[in-house]
Amino acid sequence: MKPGPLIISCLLLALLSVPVLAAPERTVTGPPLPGGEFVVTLNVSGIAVGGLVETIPEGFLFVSSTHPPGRVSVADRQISFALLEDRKVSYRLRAQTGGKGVITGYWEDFVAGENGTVAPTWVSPTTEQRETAASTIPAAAPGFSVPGALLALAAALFARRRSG
Amino acid sequence: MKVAFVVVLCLFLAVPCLAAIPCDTDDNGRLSEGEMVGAIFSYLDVTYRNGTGTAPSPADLQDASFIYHHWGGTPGECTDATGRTVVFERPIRAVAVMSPQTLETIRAIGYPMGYVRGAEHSILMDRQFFPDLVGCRAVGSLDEPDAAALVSLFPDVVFAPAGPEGDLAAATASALGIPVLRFSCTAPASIRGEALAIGSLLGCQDGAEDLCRFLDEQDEAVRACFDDLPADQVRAVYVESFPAYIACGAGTPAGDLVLLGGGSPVPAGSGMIGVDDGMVIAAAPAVVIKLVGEDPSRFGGFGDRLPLRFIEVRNAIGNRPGWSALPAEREERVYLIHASLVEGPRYVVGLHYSARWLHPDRCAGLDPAAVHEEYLSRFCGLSGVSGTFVYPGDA
Repeated sequence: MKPGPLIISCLLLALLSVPVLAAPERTVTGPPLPGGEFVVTLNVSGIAVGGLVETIPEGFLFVSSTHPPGRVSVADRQISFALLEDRKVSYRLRAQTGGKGVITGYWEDFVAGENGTVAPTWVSPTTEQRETAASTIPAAAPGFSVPGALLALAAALFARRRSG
Repeated sequence: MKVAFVVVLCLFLAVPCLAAIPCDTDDNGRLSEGEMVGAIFSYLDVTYRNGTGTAPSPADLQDASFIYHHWGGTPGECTDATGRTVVFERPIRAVAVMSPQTLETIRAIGYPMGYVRGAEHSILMDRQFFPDLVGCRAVGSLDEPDAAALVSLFPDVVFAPAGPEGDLAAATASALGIPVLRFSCTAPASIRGEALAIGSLLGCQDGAEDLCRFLDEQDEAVRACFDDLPADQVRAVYVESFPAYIACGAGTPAGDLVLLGGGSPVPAGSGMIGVDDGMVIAAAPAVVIKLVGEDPSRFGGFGDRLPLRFIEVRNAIGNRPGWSALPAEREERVYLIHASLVEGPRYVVGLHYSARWLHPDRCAGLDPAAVHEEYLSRFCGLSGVSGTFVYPGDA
């Protein structure tokens, strides 16, 4: 197998998959069982000083967060995070029976003077492990360059066929 | 009387600019992590949770975030090229700049040009090089600073040249109560330090470091050509300033450029040296470099596509009494270079040119035009601009 096309395709994939803007991206992982727990992670590395407000759907409980305690605030179904040079924010949710819905979020970058929404993420007891970028729910804010990623994926498949 | 009234009015209005650090709730002059977090939560609560408490305004929160991120939560201190330290308690979002080299450096490190509210009037004439100075007002010249214009703009800071030429502008701004920083950004030896100091103040540290890396790389490319240069191959170079018969010695940007490019300025000496025909003939320079771009040789640069004045000045040099016998004349090694490639961040372009002129055999691999193009693209956001910067040779 010639490594050239594959390496080029991987580089292309990496380049084209770079987020268009530094909007946070949400990833949900965890066992998709009723009463089970989900780990929600947001990549916030592009924000030097800012804030993040997540709204979780009914039927879910906030369990904990790895964020420093003094920089997390929970009220009802809203979880706020103060961001100070953080790379990511993680929190744990517990699904109650019948709980399902969409996690939405707002972010603010106070240094850059920018703000926006985090692409909504659908969660339910039957939710399978997936990333926001692959969600079928339309993104409300700039995030991954989906067409670019698809193009890069096609290039990788093409290279694999040629090298195989 | 009218001006005095305006001055008093502006000083009154300027008080908020001198206010303490925003969100510094204990007023101790330092923005702690707790204060920053408290301000963020107050804002998020009111903005996204229908909270009814008090929250900082978006402008205050943005300023506080800048101070926390770029200045470590303390007032921003900047020590200028004269060694004077000025302290700021708010981010700098409105500046007036009195020299093109400083403005070029400020742009090169990534400071938004929208924050440049005032500029020395000749800068505004150079629309090709500074096309992004939208809404920027003229604030006079170094010889005649416009106090009324400065008062009406009341920028957060005025950047004035560090040398005596900037004294009047600095004094005028200071008298109005406007903070002044003295930077020249002209000499190869000091431009990195000046760029880093300005970058720290303006929140452009990354841009300043990027610029310094670029300058280092270009310096190194030239230095590598002279690793084993024997002393007897160091070229004697007569570098002439804008007026005739004024030589640029060591310590001047042009003189230092020649030193970096494998040459030695003649007649020996430092600073600007008055010379006559006899002194130059006695020094027998192998190369002559003439600076243009400022009075009384104000031509060339962006937009000047026809080198007629270059040819005119070049021929005049050859016609000076006794100069036809100079080695530089006999071997046709008389060059003209625009000041913008000698003073300021673009000195590296001038360095590449002078190195090639002084040692064409060793420096054949240097491509000054390509370096110029890369700089304009990476640090000025300019492409496709044309002009005449050197003669003879490419632009």
